[in-house]
Amino acid sequence: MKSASIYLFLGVLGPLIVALPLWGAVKVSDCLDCHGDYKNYKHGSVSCTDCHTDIAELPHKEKLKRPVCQSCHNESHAVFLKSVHGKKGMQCKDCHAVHDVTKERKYCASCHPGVTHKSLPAREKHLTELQCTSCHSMVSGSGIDIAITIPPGIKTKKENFDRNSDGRIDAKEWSFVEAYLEQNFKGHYRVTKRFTAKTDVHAVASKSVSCDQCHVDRKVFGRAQLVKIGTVPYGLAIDAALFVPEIPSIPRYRETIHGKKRVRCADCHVGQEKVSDAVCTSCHPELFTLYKHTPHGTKNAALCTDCHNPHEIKGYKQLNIQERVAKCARCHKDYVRKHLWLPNTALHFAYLECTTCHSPDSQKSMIFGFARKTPRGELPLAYDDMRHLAPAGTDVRGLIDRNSDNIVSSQELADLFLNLRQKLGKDVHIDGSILVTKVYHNFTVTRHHEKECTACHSKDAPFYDSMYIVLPGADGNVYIPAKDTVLSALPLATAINMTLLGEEKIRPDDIRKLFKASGEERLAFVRELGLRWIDFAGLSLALLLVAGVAVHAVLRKVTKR
Amino acid sequence: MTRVRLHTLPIRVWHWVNAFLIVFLVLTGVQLRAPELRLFGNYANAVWLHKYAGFAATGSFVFWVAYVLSTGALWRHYLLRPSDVKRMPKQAAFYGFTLFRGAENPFKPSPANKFNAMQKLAYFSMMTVVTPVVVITGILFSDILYFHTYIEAIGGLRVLDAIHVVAAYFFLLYLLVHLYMATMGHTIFDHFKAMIVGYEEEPDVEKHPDPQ
Repeated sequence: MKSASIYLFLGVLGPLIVALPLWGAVKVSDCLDCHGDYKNYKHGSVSCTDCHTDIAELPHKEKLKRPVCQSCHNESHAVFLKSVHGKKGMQCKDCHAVHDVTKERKYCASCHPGVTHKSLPAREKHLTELQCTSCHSMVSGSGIDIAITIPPGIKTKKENFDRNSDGRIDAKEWSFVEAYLEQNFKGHYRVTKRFTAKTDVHAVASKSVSCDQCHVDRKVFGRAQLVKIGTVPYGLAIDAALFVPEIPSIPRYRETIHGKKRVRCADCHVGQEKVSDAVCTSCHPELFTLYKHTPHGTKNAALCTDCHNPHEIKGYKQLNIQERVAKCARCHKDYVRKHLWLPNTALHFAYLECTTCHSPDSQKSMIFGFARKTPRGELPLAYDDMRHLAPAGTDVRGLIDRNSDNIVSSQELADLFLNLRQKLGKDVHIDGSILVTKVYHNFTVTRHHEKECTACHSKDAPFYDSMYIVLPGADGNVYIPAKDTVLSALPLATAINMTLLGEEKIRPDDIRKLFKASGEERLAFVRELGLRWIDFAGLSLALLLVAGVAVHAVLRKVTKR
Repeated sequence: MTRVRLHTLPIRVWHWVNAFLIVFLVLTGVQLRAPELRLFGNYANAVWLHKYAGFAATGSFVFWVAYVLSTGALWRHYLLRPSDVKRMPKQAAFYGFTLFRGAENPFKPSPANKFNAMQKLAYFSMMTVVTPVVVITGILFSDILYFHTYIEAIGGLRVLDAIHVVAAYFFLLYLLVHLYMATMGHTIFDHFKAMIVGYEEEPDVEKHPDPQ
């Protein structure tokens, strides 16, 4: 009987006792009877009395305690208290609509409507593509998503753009993507860049983060991805530096040519105004004298700083083809379309800079350098790579120009190439391009001669008289003159993209030299013939054959057969 | 005179179209190799003409493959058999020596067996090795950017260029021999005529054993 009473107590009265406080609790619907304005109330599963804790019964006291947000949101609140907003005594509800958390009560611009960001470089770009908190708060994750829309129904292939199949689009490959889009969908494609940053709105600081965060250290927006082209998903990583250009911080300014020559900020930056040509001419008068009479100068089309960024770490001689073409393409965006008459347009722009043709008085040279495939794409060898061959401080010239005659022979190139392959792996190869090595500051010539393929694809091409091997030195690229037969001693596949120019074809001079030379000289020449042996052998066989046929025909005639 | 039917109409049409294309490709190729010779105007013209003549020659090659496979001509006329290998020295001796002593050609073409052992060797290797190599490397050259992955797999543009040009020299050498050998019928123009009308005329006076 006793145990029956206990069971009755636990089974029936127990739950009633437990539920008693709830029975007496104020329901949300009861609150809404009076506070109908909050009928669309949204704050998760939180009820009115979870925040308004001093309401125990209805009607409640007229004066209620202020709800304490941090009782639930203690972490955010702690961050907020340290922020500029927290320090200024702002409260959660100043920004958040607490009765409907799906709506913000205020955005940044609600309180800061007239922010001009006058001193922010590329202001419009920054203000339209980034959230305020990307610069004014902590970023815990970020990325750039690139999506390209092209006319419907067209499907592109990944391997056409990720040419070395490393799952990544490097600078060279991106220039092919751009050229492909220009060539095929001019005016009908769009490249959308979405900069997403996971930021904390509670951690707003009084000062924005340093530009270095994105543009130098790449802690933010250091990763980019090609999401899709048309409807084809790609998911390929892209070099983020293509979309977030590098600018120097003050310490790095000292590495620029101006920094090294101790040009002070105030020497150029007078007030907030853009640096004018007059500032540059004060030190470089001779170049401007020529330039100001060219169409670029007379039409005021491009200031000195439009092409020569004085903050750039790299001097013009250190820039590669893509970087040089990009200078012109800032204004001449349709350069690919305007050169569709040129067979293999994109390929030409991968190996030629605009000034090769448009500044005929500039000196063009054939430049060969060492590169290798890396997870970041195909990259030229760096000075650190050279240090595998010689201790720090060694002049890299000595690594290749062994006999110090200031000209690289094919044998010297082959020796260094094999040495590098041994030390750095088989991915090392020779890359080549045609670069302007001495600039004449008129870039607006469009002569018919430059449209002739034979301006380059013949033995008369000007760059055969000026060939260089470029090695990465401690202070930038070192140019060492090379003989024009420099590639001949190397295996075929060492310079995968260099061909079709005159150096691979036999010339009458070569045949004369071969027969005139003797002894060691002939042996050296035979080695330097390289692929020109194909023509030599082919033509010799054809001549022998014609001679043989002629003899046979004469014998037939004589024997009347 | 007995008429020996050798070449069907489709093969004759194909032969002359192909001959024109190959000569044209050789000539445009000469300008690509020696840009100083302005045979077809400026270099860009030569590039353009070579490229599209190459496409046409590719079409012509595809037609030949389809034709010889579907009619069985590949096995019947082009494939070198062990018996052909045995006959080869005699055939070579004829071209090199016995011809001048008045010997008759040891091989007599027939509708069932058109080519002698040396012809089979030349035609078969040209059509199954050299031509496909030229066609494939030429197609890769037609859009370097599009085919870049394959070009890199081969070893790069220099390698591709070398292969294409070596194969092209084989074509040139073959062309010289082929043109000369075409004069070695009963009269100088017999073989040329046969490739136009489809048959050769054999003299009735002498009977020759069937080479088969």
